[in-house]
Amino acid sequence: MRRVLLATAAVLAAILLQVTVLNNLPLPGSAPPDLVLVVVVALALAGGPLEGAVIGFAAGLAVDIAPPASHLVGQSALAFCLAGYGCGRLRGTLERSAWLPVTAVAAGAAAGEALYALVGLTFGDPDITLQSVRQVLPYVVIYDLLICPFVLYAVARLGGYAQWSGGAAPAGLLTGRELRLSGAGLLGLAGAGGAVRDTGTGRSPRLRPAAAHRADAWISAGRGQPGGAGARVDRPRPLRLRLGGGVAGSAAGGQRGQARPPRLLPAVHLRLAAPRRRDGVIATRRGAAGAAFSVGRAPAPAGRSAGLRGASLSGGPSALRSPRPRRFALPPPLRFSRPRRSAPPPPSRFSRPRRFALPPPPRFSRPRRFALPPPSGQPGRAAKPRTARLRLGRRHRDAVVGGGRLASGTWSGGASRGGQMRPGSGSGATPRFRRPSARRQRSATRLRSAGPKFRRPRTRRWWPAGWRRGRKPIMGRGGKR
Amino acid sequence: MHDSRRTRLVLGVLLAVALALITIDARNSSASPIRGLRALGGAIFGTAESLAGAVARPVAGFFAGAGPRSHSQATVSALQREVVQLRGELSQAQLSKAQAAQLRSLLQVAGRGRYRIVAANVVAAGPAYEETVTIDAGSADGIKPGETVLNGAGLVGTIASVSPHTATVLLVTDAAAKVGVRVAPNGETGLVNGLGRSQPGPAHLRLQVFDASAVLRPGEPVVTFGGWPYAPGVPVGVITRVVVNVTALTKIAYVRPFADDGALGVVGVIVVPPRHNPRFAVLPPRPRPSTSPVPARTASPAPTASATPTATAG
Repeated sequence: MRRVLLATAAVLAAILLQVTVLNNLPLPGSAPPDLVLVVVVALALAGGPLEGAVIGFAAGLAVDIAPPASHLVGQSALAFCLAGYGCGRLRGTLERSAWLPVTAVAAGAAAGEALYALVGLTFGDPDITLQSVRQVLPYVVIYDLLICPFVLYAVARLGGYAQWSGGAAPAGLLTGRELRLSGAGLLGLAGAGGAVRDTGTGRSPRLRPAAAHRADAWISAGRGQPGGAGARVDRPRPLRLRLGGGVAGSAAGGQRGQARPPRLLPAVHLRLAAPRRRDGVIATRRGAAGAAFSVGRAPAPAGRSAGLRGASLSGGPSALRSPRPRRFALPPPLRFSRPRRSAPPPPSRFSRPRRFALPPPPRFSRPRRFALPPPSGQPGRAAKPRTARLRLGRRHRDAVVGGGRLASGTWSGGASRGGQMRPGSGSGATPRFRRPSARRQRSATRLRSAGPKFRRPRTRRWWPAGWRRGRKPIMGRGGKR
Repeated sequence: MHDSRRTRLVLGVLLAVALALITIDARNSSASPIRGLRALGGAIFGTAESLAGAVARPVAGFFAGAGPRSHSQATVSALQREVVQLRGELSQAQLSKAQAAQLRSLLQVAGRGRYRIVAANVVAAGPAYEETVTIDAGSADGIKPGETVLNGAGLVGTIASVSPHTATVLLVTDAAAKVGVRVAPNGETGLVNGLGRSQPGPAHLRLQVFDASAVLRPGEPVVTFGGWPYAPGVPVGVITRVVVNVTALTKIAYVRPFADDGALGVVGVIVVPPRHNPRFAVLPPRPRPSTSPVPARTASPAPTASATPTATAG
């Protein structure tokens, strides 16, 4: 609720400031900056694609109907909505550098302006001709670029985006701080040395907020805010075991006092082919999860499509016995489907189980979720000679296969590369969403997951599915008008 | 909630709504949903703007004379004097004194043309491509769409839409504006349309005189012809350049407007046009603009033609 109010207030203030002050300023060039678009893009960058699209649409519609505007109603709404959505997609990928958010805002603003002009050209607005676009567009983009550090800083600072996720909202934890970081760094409020620290080790994010140190300039700048980031740093951090790859105090997520794990982007949905009637037994057992990790030792046949036999999955005591009480070597977030009575759905792409019919994917898979009824019965119950649909992918550094041993030390190699496989740690010493690693993880997951029947379609695309197909008719219809 | 089917669904719905709005507005801008939306926006944002305008006016007014938008030498020097004044005493009393000066000249013009006007303040300006402003008087003050807006220097524009307490003015310099005019000494009729932001530098208007054999000279003033939507006799601007094109059916010239759209303060809306056409009576008694700007203007904003001091084509 607070987010909604703050976003609304920010957008309304931006609109009023735009029409009453900025449009009246006799700036050199033939166009003023578009503050509203920059605010929308900054909010989207902190909020995500859904929020970005909604905020962009609402702000654009407000711009369209705010009195001095005489362009088509919906023109800004369309442009801002797409710009907000696109920049929301970039949320979370911007952790590496303080400059990336600024670049993203600039790119989003430029794209939004170009889209606005394109819609105007398409619909024959007399004000928007090729000549006037050539006159106006460069100035608008340059001015947007000039004001975007200020807007980023103001949005992060005034909105306290870093705190918004303090409640139950699983929002971008780091983004607000990153925004603030970049804004502060660019504003020169803090020297670059104090604000970011280049650690340059391969596994960790290159630029990190120097979170744990009090004397850092940007943190002390935020300290005056009650409950702000500065106040949180002073709290003792809970002891946490770090696995490999992290440097103490460098954790991107460790700045916050509570052990709040970063949100995982592409949740690994490893399906154990649960919709079959008997597989449910396997899937709901802790032993199965353990077995999934002991398959590194299991005599799995070579070749990626080699199915994991049910016997090796649930039968052998060697597979089920966990060598030691694992605190960290928990499986990647599994999504278990409930055993169904009915026949499995027909094999099509759309036949994946509905969202609400499933338990939510364990976000940072607490161990409790897997502590289902202990395998009291004999393990051989599910050991029908039937192929469980768990496929092994033999990737080189894959956490599952390449791990080899179950000792937690060896986990670190694969796990920190995967970036998502360390359920209990939450130290955040690994980058949150590193794109290449996420991709690798996904590919490994796809290889490992059930057959083509339950293959999960890719969700992290840059544009929604069917976008290219859908674009043409839309523009064609527009052009006809 | 990173990116899911729901997000895409929402995005698709929003885009569809936006496209539907654009289409409805492009077909018929007076359709009921669009009109309702604009009325809503006028009620909400117009009120907020007229409130914020009172705060923002000193800020904008402070910069008004400093920018490159004020062009003619008379205006530049006047505004520079004004800026010196403002910097000397930035107080509300001083600002209202400047407004009083604008209002006085406005009333002089209105008296010469026997216009009955409603005075208003400019509180907001339109976005990048548009030459529109909002004034803080609306239908509650008797303003209706289509009425002529002027200030102490000359024609400003016409009322495009009204809300209860604000109104939107489409400036003459907007590319959608067309004004029927009469060129001063000989009375040739023509059409002036704005150029929008399509050309760099100061705003200019394009004058098209229907009589191809007419003789136009730089420095000749132009007034409105009368007839809807513009009241007759309002000074529009002065011819700066005449385009020589023998084959054209009409004569083209460029006109610099009297009113500087970058520094609008107090404006008046003509709610009752005069009973008799004042023709050229509203123009300043001495042709002040015809002497000064011609040698002073060195920048030629329009790249299309060559400037000739006297044009005798056709």
